[in-house]
Amino acid sequence: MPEITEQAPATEAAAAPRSLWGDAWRDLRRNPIFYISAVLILFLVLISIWPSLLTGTSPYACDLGRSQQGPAPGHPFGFTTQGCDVYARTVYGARASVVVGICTTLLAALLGCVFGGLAGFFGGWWDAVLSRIGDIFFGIPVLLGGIVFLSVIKGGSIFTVVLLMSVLGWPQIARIARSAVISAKQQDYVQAARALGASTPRMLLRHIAPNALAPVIVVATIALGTYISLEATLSFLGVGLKPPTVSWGIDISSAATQIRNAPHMLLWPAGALSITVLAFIMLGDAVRDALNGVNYSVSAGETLAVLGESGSGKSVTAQAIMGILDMPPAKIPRGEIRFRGEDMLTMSADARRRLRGAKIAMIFQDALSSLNPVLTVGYQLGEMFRVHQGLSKKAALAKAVELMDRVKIPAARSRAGDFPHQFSGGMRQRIMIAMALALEPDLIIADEPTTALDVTVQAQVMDLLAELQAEYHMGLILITHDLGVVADVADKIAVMYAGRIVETAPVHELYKNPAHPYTRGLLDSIPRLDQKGQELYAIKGLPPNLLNIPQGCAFHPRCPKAQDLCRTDTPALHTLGEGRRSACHFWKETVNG
Amino acid sequence: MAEPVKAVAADGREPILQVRGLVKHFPLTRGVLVKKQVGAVKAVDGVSFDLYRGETLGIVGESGCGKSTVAKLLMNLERATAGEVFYRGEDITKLSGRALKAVRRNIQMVFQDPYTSLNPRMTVGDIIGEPFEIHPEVAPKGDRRRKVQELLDVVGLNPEYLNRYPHQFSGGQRQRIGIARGLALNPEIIICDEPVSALDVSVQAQVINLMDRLQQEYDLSYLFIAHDLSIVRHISDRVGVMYLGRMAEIGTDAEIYDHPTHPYTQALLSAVPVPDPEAREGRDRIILTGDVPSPADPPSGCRFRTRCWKAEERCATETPELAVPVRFRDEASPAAHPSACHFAEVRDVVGAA
Repeated sequence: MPEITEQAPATEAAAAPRSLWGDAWRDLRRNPIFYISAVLILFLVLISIWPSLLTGTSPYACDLGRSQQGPAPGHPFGFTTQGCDVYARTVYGARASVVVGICTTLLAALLGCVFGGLAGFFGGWWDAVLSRIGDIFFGIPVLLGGIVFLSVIKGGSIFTVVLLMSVLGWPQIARIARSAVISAKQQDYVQAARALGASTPRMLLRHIAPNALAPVIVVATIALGTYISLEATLSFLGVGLKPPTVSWGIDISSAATQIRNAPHMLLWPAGALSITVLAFIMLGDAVRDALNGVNYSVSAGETLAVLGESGSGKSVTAQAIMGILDMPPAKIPRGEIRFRGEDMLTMSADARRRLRGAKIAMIFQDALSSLNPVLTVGYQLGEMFRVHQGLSKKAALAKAVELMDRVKIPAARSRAGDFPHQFSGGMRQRIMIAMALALEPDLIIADEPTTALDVTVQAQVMDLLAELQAEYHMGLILITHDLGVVADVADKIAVMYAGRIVETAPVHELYKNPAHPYTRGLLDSIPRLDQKGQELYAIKGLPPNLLNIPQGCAFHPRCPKAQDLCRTDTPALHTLGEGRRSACHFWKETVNG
Repeated sequence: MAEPVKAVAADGREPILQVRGLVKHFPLTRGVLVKKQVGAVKAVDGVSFDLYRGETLGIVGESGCGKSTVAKLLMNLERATAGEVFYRGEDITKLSGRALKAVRRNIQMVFQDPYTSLNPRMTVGDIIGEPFEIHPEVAPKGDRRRKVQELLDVVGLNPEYLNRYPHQFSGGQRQRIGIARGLALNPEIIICDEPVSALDVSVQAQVINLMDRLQQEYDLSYLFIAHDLSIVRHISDRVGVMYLGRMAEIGTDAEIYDHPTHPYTQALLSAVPVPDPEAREGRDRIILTGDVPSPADPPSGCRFRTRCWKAEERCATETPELAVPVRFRDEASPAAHPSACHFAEVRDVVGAA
């Protein structure tokens, strides 16, 4: 049995296991905002546990004789109306804020995760009922609800405040949890677990919860700051915590009336509250950035990995736009740049933009996302004429219908009033083609124009493109990974590998006699009739990461012909003959088999 | 209801999986609290076929033809609206609980997208080891780590990679991990839903070779669903062509590719770009008109008639059966294979015969 060679890139061999949580933690530790907020919060937690660390004075030791007096030795912040020490009260006030904030968040998160999680996981009636309950609570403004309920029940203990705020606050977290669970539930790995026969609790705890947790953590951390300020507001209004509990809100409330006489009484508790809320919001932001950052960098990495070979082609679009318009035209896979050539590079951005609209048009892989979903197709097509040729609305629409007829959209006149989503994939791609044709460009760049389409529809679209190309006498640059499509329509081909052209040739010669081992490998790996039941030829290894392109010839780690020279020297694009070039040191040997 | 038919292939092999009249309709509902059914998407509408031990049955068709739904039904990830799936003589569509779990040991799946089919928060070791946790009887606890490393080795990955996370691997490597997970319970049948279509061209061949090798080593039966006709031909012993929830034609790979008798198969094959510029001129290309109709409102009679150049009155009123066409029934020609068309005839579209 032939063995399978799997060559992990050098970077990967060195890589240690990296969990997503670990990545998030690493990102977090690189963020200075996280350190600032963490130090502040740690400090707050410490003084709320041991306030006596910072002050020897009791917040209750009041002396009416010193009412509203300013700072004095041993009493740096002055005194309240009751003659209590403002410094001591500010220090002791942290406890109420921290306890209320943390307890409310934990309780609300628990309620939210349970309700939102169940609604999201089971759907149907569970979802209908639980979501309605959530909506009812969500509809109550938390502050107003708090004022009304707390004044009715005349609570005032930390317990009642926490309970009320979490009862009013959980729907926010439940909504996030629900959507996080729904999106995690639809992932293939959950289906895979079901296919293995995993039990419901197992799927929930092992597969869904860990993946749904990140957004909940972000919302909960940010909510923590909100709860703290909410408690202060309620206490300020006299319905939250009640004396003798020491709370910043209560002190702010009593100081507010005396702001002209003794502003120092307001300054310190208000300042402490602001800094506390700020610290938690900063923490929330840092956590959010870290957790989202991971997703971003992962997808970025994945994107780069498929790029080398334009494998799935999905992610090529963005790069292709930049590549085509901002890189030397020589790098365009397969093409006939009949005008301006290198000028495009030295051209001003303005001139390039003009060129792009009128002389060069582009067709993208994903027609749906390239069309504006809220405008009718007729309007979008007509826009080209209104903007570029200054036609009236009516004349532009007539032109649009004419174009739709050209690309063979049935009943063009009536369909011009439809929106993009009302068309099928093939029809949408026709609209994209119509749009590209509108200004009768000299060149059309089609980036994987049929990759998203089914074969029978692909045949229709390619047929149409070829027909229009002949009729309008346009150049066509076709970017694709499909060797079949290329053989079908191309005249010349440029093969790219790791961001460089490795071979150019007229179509027949390329297929008959490739001059680069990579091209040869690609052609050989196509399943052929006479090889059925045999091992397919496979290029060993993986396409390179574009951030880490191998030295010398980029293809050498996967090349069966690689020599020492290939590891050190980057091959030039040798000219073999009319229109044939190959970036291989050993092109002669390759051409001769 | 239908009993498992005692069908035995010409060479004496027995079917391991028999699908009879499989139907899946997804209800279209309106209303928020009180849901009213206003129609149904007929994703799969009466599909029957057999899968023999050790063979690969390829299922091809365009998007929306119901091939992925068939995979989900066979895996019991969706409940069938009607029809039966017999595995060892037992209808598995009605199973639940312990009995279903037991069957799942023997039928496993490889998913299309290697990026979403692995839990990003689990290590590769945990992912491949999970089947053993769910079915602890397969491997004793102390043995699992070794088993997982063996599986990694079998699919051509370094067994030391045990503690890494999925995002540290490339697409092709991830698909190998998915295959290792599918193999863990030593199944008899593996349902592959577009297993290589998300991979780079040069990596596809590696994974196809791996699957081929594993099939021989473990005597696996594959149901290989894909839209890439050349890959399906390479790996399949038999091929079924689906269109709009029904099977249009089924037969050996040579029968389907070289002697297609259903117009849809002919159009599909002729539309596939052939990676050979020499073939450009000599080919018989059939460019179909229009799009695939919506499965919520399929045409009456033959599903393909709205795009078919042969369609007549009869096609609208009479649904063609999937059977060997009468005119070929007595011949021993390769055209004598089941084809659901009233006007089945051979047309060599790829110029291969």
